[in-house]
Amino acid sequence: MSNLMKRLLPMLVTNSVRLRHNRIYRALQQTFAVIFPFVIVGAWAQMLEQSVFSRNGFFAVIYNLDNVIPHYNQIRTLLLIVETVTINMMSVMAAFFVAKYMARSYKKDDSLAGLTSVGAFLILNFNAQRNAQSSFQTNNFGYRGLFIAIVFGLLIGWVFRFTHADFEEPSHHYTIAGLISRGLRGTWLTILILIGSVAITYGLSRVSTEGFIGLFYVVFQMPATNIPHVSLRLALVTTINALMWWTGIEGPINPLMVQAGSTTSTANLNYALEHANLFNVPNPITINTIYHPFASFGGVGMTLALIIATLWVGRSKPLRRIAGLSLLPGLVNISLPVMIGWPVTLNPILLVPFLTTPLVNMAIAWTAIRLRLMPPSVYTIPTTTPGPLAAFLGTNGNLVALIVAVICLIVSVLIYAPFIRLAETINLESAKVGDHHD
Amino acid sequence: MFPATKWMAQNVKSARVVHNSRMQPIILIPGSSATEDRFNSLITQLNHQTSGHSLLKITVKTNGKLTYSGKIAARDTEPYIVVAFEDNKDGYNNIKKQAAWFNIAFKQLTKTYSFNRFRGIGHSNGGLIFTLFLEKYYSEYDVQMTRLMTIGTPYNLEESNPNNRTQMLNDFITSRDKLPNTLTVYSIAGTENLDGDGTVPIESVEAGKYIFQNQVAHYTQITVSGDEAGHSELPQNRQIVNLISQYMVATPNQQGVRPGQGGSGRGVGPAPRDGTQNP
Repeated sequence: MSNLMKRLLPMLVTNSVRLRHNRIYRALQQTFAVIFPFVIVGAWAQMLEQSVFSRNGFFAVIYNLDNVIPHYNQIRTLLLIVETVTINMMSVMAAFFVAKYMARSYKKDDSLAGLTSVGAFLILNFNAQRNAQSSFQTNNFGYRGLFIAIVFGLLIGWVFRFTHADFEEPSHHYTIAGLISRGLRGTWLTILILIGSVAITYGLSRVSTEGFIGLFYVVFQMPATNIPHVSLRLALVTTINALMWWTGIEGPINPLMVQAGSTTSTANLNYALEHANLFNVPNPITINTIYHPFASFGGVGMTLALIIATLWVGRSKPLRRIAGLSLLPGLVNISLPVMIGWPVTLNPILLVPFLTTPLVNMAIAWTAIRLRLMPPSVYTIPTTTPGPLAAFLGTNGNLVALIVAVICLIVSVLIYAPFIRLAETINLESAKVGDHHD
Repeated sequence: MFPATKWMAQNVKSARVVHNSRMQPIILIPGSSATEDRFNSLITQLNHQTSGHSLLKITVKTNGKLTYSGKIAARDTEPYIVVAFEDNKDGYNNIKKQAAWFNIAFKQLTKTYSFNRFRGIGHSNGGLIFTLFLEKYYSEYDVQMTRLMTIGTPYNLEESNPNNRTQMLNDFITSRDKLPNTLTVYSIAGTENLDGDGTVPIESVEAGKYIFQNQVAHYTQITVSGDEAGHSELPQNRQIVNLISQYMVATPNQQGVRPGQGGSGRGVGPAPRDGTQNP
């Protein structure tokens, strides 16, 4: 292993140094850094709102908090406002900053590029449906729309290289008229981009009512229907879902969303309620029995394991700090801080464990259920239930399920740990090499 | 972690109750010296007012064997089940025995019909048997008693002075914390004269408050006077029949229930007439 690493490392370092000099990579890094404080504030608000101040939040149901905490609903409203202007606006912010940093890398007018990108992003998420309640598909302003924001932001920032709107350091010798006329230099491009966005939106509305996200989901559904074997189908579906999350698209499988009762899980639940014996439920292997309770601690991709592994083996202080800030939200399955902060999103090194850990965990859970060591977990639990407890509660207190969940967590941490070391080594090495270059 | 487990167990239990709530029988226990036919006229009257429910009658022999008459109609969600005892003598010792016999019958009933909720009506000592059952045997079951109506039940036996507590009342009060806190209790007292229903002193019925009040979810005491307010007439008293159909029968007009064949023409099951099946 270490020999392999020694041979691999220089190659990885050279590649990541090259990557670091890539404008796209830099624009993304800078953008994530700028929006991270908003993500943290929003995620903590979301954590409180979902686990404490929602009537079916984990802590709320256990301690009956809605009767205990005074002004329960008012506090919830305040938290929702904070969420709305932070994480639920994340993609709008990203659209601005990605275009801004991209344009700046070409020494062009970055503010104009940023604002144009925001305009284009808003147009792309315009609600084309008639009688729509809101002008925009506001649910795409959060993590769900991040990939689109990034792609179009980069594109718009890049297009600005062809303008004459050069970036100028603000000087003390300016006139207001001069400033305004300077702003006009890129206007033709802005107009073209906005018109282009309108055309794209119009075209999209003919094929998908949900914009780009609707298109992605259509792609997602294709493998699900064609594979007959349930375990393979589960593996493929969850992996594609994880890949979407990694890319910056909120995949259709979201641990924070209440699972609509599928036919299989309803059959399981009915059986369990009638017979009180979970071992013989009709569908022992489903997404609700092996993926949700065992393979999505902290969110898609077992990011809770990444947080724990970072706190365990991580040496870099900033990374440890980010992991520390992400730990509590991660416990109630809110993964945004670590997705943006580490970052996991579009990070090539973390892609491997992000995709493999859930598969390994599902295999462990599958084996334990097939060997009848533990019953499948079939009862509905709050979405904010801390990951390691999900199986324990979902089986109504089966100790083996708890042990299997803990094993899954340990295995996941062990899978993530070497990649964290690898990422840190590459960071250090490329920083050294980078210094020489600059 | 522990409160989470507790909450989950509770959650699953209530989900199970809701899920399996299709049948919720009304179990009736007659008083001393009364047979399984004690409630025939009551149920005839009830079925006359509503679209009717079927009736199953069980007598528990002294050796614990059960004899049945009548039956529960296939789709009936709220049948009446009368449980009577071969040895139906009065006295605290006999009541204890009868509660144990009732437990045998109840175990068999939950096994056969797998219901998760039931309501109970006890006339006279029948109310004492229910109370004893709740305090002594109920916790063994995963079954919920939602309502109990006792009619002319002497919680302090024949004693009219509430300060002279009988051994039985003392025992009931000692174990009252075993009573389910989700239960709703109605205690009905008949008053023929100012002292009571002629057999049971009103104070003895009222002594029920020492057992139920502040322990069960709701405890309501109702006093009925006027015609037919004598102790043995209470189950046929029109006021009380109205109270029963109002408080105890959840689905007086069950949808999809058709008058059964060979029955009374009303209701799913044969509505018994007084005397027709008496031995």
